[in-house]
Amino acid sequence: MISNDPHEQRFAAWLEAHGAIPRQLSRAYAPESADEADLHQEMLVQLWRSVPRFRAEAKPSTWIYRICLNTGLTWRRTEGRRTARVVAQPEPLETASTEEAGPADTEEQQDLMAKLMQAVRELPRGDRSLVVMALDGLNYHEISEITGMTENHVGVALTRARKKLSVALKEVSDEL
Amino acid sequence: MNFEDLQQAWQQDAKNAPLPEVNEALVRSVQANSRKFTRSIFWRDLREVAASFFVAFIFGRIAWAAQAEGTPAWPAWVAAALPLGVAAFFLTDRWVSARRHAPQGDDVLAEIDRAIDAVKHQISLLRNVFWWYILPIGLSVGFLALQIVLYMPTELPPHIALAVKVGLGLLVVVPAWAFDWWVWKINQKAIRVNLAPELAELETRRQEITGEA
Repeated sequence: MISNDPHEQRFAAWLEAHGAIPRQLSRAYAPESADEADLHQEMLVQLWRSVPRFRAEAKPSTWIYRICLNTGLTWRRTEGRRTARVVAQPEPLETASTEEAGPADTEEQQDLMAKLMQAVRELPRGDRSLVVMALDGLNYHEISEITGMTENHVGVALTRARKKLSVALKEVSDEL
Repeated sequence: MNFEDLQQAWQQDAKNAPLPEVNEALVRSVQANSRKFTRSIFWRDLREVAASFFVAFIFGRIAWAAQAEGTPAWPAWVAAALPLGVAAFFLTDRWVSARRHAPQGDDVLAEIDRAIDAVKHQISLLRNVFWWYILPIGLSVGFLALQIVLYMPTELPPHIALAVKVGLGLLVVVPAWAFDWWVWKINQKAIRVNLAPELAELETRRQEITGEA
């Protein structure tokens, strides 16, 4: 049971409502699958540390995106990570055929998801952030709030990033 | 296949993703990792200033002992004060930097700029390590040598006493200055090997997001 401490309450509420954001971003930003848990831990630690600085003018999801994206963009793998891996990582669902595929519904979707995740990881980290937000269904305005770019700039940069994604996806499809 | 199909697959995956249960164990473990992070920063800073405090303590003891014997001790007191000045500078810089460069939950570009500033500051600190660390510590050791040469009591004949004192002074100064040279070298290596690539990486991230060449 979570205590009544407002810090803990807010953190828990964020994870309840938006736990998928750090999870998907750690998958997209980890250099290899083996690093996902470390990066996910790092994102959670940074989110925890950010709770006192949370300003109500930003939506929690925008805030969480910012914190997690900043962590993903600047994260560097080091030997013997400083964060202990004490958070139990969720077991993959039985429907997932591979770790890369994740919990998609059908085999076709799993295959598509595996290719998509690999293609996303092939993108430069900056483009990756835009593509991940677009895949999550965020509009130009929301992406602009998270990144600090103008909406026009988001449009231009996203078009460029999507082109790179389709090239990467073709390459990945040929490889798989 | 169009982008909407990809969006659908991605969002479906996110929806079905097995997430860690949000419970007390998770909160405690994140809290513990956060404390571990804070502790690691504290011990890193402490390690880096501990040497300065240790040198100041040893030189201070020498000055105290000389004064107790009625010998002038001003060079030894200066030698003890200089490392304290280095420690004070280092701690103040760490404190100011931690406040100025701590992530604030701003947008991504602002946070990348903040990270770039922090790395640039670190590079400038190491590049100028001679002025704020090596020179004061080198001078401190030089003053200790001066204390030995000018005021160390001895019962030897004057011309032999001077040779012995100069020899002792050199014995203190030469290894200390060699150590300073090594400190300068490893700091410049840290810029080349760690900080310059980190700065380049952050600038690349910025360019990737903004599309600026």
